[in-house]
Amino acid sequence: MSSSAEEDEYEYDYSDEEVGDDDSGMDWNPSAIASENPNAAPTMMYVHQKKGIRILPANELLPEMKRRLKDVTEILDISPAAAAVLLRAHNWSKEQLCEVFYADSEKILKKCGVNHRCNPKLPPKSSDDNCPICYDEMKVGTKMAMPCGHEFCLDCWHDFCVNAIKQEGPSCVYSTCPDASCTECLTEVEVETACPDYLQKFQTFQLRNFVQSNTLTRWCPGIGCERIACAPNASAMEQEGNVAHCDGCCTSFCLICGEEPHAPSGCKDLALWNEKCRNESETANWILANTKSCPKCASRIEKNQGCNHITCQRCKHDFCWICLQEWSTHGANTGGYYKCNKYDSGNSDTADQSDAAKAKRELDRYLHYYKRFHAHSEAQTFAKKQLNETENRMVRLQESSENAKWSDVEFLKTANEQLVECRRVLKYTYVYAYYLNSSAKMQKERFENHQEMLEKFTENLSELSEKPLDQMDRTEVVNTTRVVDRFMKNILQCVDEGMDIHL
Amino acid sequence: MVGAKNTIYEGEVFKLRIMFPPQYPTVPPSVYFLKGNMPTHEHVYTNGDICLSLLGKDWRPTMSAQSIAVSILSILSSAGSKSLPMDNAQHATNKPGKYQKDWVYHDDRC
Repeated sequence: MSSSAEEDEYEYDYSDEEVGDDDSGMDWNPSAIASENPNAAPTMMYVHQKKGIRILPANELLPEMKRRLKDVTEILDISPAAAAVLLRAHNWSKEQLCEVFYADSEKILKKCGVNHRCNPKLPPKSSDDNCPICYDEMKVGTKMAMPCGHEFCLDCWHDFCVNAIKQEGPSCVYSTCPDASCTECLTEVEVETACPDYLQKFQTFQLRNFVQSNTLTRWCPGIGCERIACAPNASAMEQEGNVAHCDGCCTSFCLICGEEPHAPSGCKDLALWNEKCRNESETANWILANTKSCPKCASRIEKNQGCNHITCQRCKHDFCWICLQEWSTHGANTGGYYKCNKYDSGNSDTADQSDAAKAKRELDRYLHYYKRFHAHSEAQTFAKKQLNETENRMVRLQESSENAKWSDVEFLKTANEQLVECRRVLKYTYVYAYYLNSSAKMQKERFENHQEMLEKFTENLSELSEKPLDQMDRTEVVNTTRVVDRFMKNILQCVDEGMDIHL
Repeated sequence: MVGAKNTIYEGEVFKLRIMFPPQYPTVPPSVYFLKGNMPTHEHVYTNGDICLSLLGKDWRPTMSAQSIAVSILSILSSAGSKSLPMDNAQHATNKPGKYQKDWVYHDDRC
């Protein structure tokens, strides 16, 4: 993998960011950006994350979160706990919060559940000395209340907080006062007093919330990975094809949508495509395309063989498959028995027919792309599996030939990595093509030409790299790898240039 | 529970099982209708479960079994027609009375 380990050594700091700067932007030290590793395999260059994207362990974002909290605490003159609640409700954006705060501070404080916390008045002392939850007597020193003044015994507070953190998980930061009619928000102040053991967990959820609502950061989607990808600025986040590569778990992902890198297709198209493949809306289309409703009882009938004379299984109505008129009207005047050349454009059934035809065409189109998408997806999985075994093959190859160095067999790994890359790109070319505007004919032809070439040479490489070791031709594999890499870059470039037409 | 007067459930008698877990009142009690004595209602699954946010995310420790009973009577009384929940088929075979974690409530107004 090309993502170099030395990147970890680079420092980044926030200190050069001025207070009052647009806080949605994070400045990374420009000198900290690693130059591309010259030893990296050329085939992986394209997946190499764009300059400036950083992969950080989760806790390194804590100083940034605290800095924003501190700013808001000072500007609005409120407690840090209240600042956290307010920032959370406004995507952690200082500007967004200040704007609404100065427009109507009381409204926003009430809405977010920090009104009492920011306007401390002596709460009415409850005359009742029994805890409203457990009805046990509360002695001085064993009761606690949030600034809203609803007092409960410490035991009940403990249970309440622990339950919220355990059961609600990340959304426990939105918990409110145990009193049913109170909207005051639970904060780390109460958690610290009631159950200090869980304070760290609560703070982790707070940080998680910060990362999620921050527009410049994304959790690494790798399973169990606790790292975060950060974009250097807002514009980097908006560019399509922003690939981050996590050096912790070796997962590559799109910084914008979190999916596997999906060039040349865009994030929106990919989301649409995934949605389309997930829900079985196509089944409905198939039904429309291949069946017709009985004109009498409306039950769906599929005609898979036989003549045009249909007898509905359900209501025994006899009708013609073509014109949906009663069969008794058929005979010599319709072109003979079991034939029908009647076509009445004024008939309401024609709308159904054209709908059905349209649905069938659309379904065929979808299936055309889906079949190929799926085939490359399978091939990608296979190539990945093969990649795991490559090392063994390399060892065997080295042993089989005399005086072979490790660098002499590395071409095998390079070829295999290239193969995985190409399969992934090819897979998404079909998503791209499916959503390609059909009016951009020139571009489409050009794209399909590139696609065809890439496909051809990928298959070629696939065949070459799977050959038994004794038939392996190093020069041929190396050359094909290079050619395939060229075609892959070509198609991505072609899409980049033609992007305007597509959008 | 008896259906309230002037509602579509007037005079009907329903039976509920209410179980208080050890952590009550930190967590809500488990409440469900018993088979054979349950109403046909948009928010009542045929396994007895009641789709009520008070029994899940909106539960607060200061509430009681009484407040739940009032809420149930209220969702019954506000119903205009007797119909099953839209997603009944997916839920009907589940064991009733489980903690309503991650439930999506059809109608948070009830």
